[in-house]
Amino acid sequence: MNLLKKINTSLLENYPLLWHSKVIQLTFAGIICWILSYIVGFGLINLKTLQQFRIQNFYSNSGYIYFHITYEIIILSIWAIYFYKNNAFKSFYPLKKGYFIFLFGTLFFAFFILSSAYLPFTYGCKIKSKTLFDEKNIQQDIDKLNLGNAFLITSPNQYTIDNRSYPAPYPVDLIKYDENNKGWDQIPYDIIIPKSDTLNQNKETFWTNSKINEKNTIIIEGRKIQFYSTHIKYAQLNECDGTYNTYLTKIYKLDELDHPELNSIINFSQVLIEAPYRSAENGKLLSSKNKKYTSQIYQLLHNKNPKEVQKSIDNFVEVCLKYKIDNNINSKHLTRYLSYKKYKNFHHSIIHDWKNNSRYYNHQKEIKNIESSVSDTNKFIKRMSKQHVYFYSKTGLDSLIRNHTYLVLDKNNSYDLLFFLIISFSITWGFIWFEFASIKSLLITIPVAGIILIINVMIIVFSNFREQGVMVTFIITFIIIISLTLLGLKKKIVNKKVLNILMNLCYIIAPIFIMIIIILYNELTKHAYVQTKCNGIELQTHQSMFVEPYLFFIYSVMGLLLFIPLLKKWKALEE
Amino acid sequence: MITYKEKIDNVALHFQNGDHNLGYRKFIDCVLDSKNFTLYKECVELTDWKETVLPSKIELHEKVNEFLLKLSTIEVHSPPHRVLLKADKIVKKYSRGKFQLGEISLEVKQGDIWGLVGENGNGKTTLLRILAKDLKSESGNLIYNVENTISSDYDLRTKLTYIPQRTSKWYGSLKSNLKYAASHYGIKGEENEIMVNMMIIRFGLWPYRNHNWDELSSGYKMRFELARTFLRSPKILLLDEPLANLDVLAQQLVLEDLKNLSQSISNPLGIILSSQQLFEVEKVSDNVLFLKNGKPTYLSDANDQNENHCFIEMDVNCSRELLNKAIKDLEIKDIDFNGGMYLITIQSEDGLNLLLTALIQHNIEIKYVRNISQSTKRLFS
Repeated sequence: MNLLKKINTSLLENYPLLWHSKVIQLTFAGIICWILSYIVGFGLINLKTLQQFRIQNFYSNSGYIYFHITYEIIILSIWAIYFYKNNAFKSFYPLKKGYFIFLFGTLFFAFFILSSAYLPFTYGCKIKSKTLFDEKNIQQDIDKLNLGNAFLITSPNQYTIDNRSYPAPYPVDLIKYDENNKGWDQIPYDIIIPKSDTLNQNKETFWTNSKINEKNTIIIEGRKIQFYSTHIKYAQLNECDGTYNTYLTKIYKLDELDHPELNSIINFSQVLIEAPYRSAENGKLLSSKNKKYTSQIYQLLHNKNPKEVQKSIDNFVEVCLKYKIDNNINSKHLTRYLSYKKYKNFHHSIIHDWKNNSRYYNHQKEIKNIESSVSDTNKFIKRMSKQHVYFYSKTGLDSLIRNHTYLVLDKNNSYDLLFFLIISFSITWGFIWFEFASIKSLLITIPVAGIILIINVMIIVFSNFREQGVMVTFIITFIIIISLTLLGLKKKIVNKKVLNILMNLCYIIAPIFIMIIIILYNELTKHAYVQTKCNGIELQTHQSMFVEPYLFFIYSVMGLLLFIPLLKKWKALEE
Repeated sequence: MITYKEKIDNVALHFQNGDHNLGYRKFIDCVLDSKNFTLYKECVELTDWKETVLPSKIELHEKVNEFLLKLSTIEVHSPPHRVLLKADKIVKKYSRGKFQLGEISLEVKQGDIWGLVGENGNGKTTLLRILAKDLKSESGNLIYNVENTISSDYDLRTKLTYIPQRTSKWYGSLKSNLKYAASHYGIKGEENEIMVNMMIIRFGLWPYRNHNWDELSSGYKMRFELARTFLRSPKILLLDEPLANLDVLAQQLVLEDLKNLSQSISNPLGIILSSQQLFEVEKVSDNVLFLKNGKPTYLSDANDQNENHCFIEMDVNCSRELLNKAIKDLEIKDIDFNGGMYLITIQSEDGLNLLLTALIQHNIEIKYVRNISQSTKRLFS
């Protein structure tokens, strides 16, 4: 306690700004929050939570976010009470050069520590998670899971073309025919087929001539497959030469509902690979992994050796046990069921997702019945084909594998950092406002800013402006406000009360002014192509300038830095 | 002008005469004039001892005498008194009303005290705010000569210390607020602690140093403001009604402090203070400016104009007829009764003696009498 008092006195006597900002106490509270967040993140993660939540979302899904927000509000409230007790600027005390910049900087730092508990929390989760995976054998475990998973499809909907068509045409859900290249290709996963009624509205992508739900049977490389076909033309910008090419005439999608014969497990030759592989590696690994497992599974079935199938399911169960994945899989029963060739048309999958516990408990009795009727093959198969009796936590397994992929790739999302920088910047901006402005002028500024905004919106609406016009209108308004403020400060053309409001408006504008000018510049030069080279050929292309998200943050800081020197001049003016 | 040596002798004299409180305050002024932090530190220790041990007057006298011997070895020179502020033909108009302040011209030198008197709503506060650069005047010039290194208007405002009538509330302890002000004015580390303590002692705030705003009376709040202001080493001090809300003793104490501080040997300062306490203010002021409907009257000018007149304020216990009868032989220029007091103007420098003689001769009971020939009081009517 004495030490704290000594520190406080020392700050008061030697570093009045630090004492006033209470940044030491604030940072201390932030560090406590960081340590706590790390410990909680580390402590809450276990094999069960890894099956329920994604690591990167666990901060919010676990409810820790509510604790953190409450903690932050309490700390900020207490801090604000002490912070606003003293004000050197309003008392006309001499201020060192860069006083406000330093004050802003220190508070920004402290608020960042206080606001970004997500980062240590997630880091704690990652560290703990890494200890939960048997990294040495993880690849073997994943192989076992993928191999076994082929026999444990939990829904007919998951039983996609990859799994069902033999031989598999392509490891894709969608395929396209490229008119330019006269060939078939896989559609990137981020392309979504739009509904017909939205096609014409979407001017940017140039979708035309759409027909949905026309059934087609196509032959690809000698293989006959029935698909939906969708007739679509669209134009896409060729980044190399800046022109638009027509790419697609038809998109084919497997007709899942009208292909009962494909629902037979025996027909499959490729196995469903879990989504993490797709999302993490943009689908590229999918093909190779598919091929790898496909050949293995095909071999298993082709050999007609139930023991090998049972072994792969046993391996699956073994890994489930290792990672505490709930299941009640009986490999012997399943193998027998899968090997029964008469039933090629299953209306239900025999495995169900464990997450719906109630179903599992309802079927406990059924499982016992199956046990008793297992000697009678026909009865057993009939019962198996009608009801879900075996379960495993597919969503848990998915989540576990996704979390592992996240850890392995260890992608530090820089946008997380940017997000917290922006949050801290906004909080600091708000608190600093009260440091120099009076409550009275703030209360007047709010309706004035509202009126200015309404006038701008009316000008935009009545002038039928497009994007550029909107920004031009705002920039003109901003320039008028800034000019009036500067003239008020220099030539004293307005009285102090009006100037107070103008200063507040300038403070609102400061963080967005440069940003809007940059955006407007890019809008205005959108069709002015610049000379570039592509594959040795000189081309005219357009590139947006200075629009990186981090740059936007820097523009806000720069805008504020331009505003701060006006403060002393404004404060010293007579009424 | 009094020398440092004479100041020290005065302190010793006060203690000899048994005026320990006054003597101790003046003793602190002498220590402050020394500008010696070692002595400041010793002075703080002495005060702490005085306040905790509660020594006898003799013990305190001995200790102070020892200290005064040390002080007497120090050379303190007074800087040449220069003009700090020159206001020339200042005019301020309020567009909504018909009120106009000015033209006002005045010159404040180091060591000067200007009293600003007048009824409410006659422009005292407006003038002080204009002089403090808080309010813009319509015309006129203000020239400040407070420091050579004024780089901006904000810098100038940091040098002009204006204490409004209603001071704003502060938070935290009295001492921490003083420390905060001192550290902004470059008084850091141990010096900060010592200097703040010195000011706390000087303005009699030692027992209240850890109190907050709510725990202080109006008088001590004003003392706090003065302590805070003096930590800023002001050259000019602008005070708006500093005596309002103070009791009679506190008023005298504050005025006396201001007088002493303005006449500091090492840092003499110019003070302009407005007040309704005419006689008290006039007592300490070197110049008095009377404002009526915004128009200034300088007391020195008014005195020159009525050089051979005597203005007397009086209350007697008799009828008007009896009074008239008693003073009928005097050269009465004017007699005015406002319901409570008579204001009598006699065309003679010796008017007061003549009047008193006349009243005594007629056996009239005198309840109150004051010669206001040298006071702005006579301008109120």
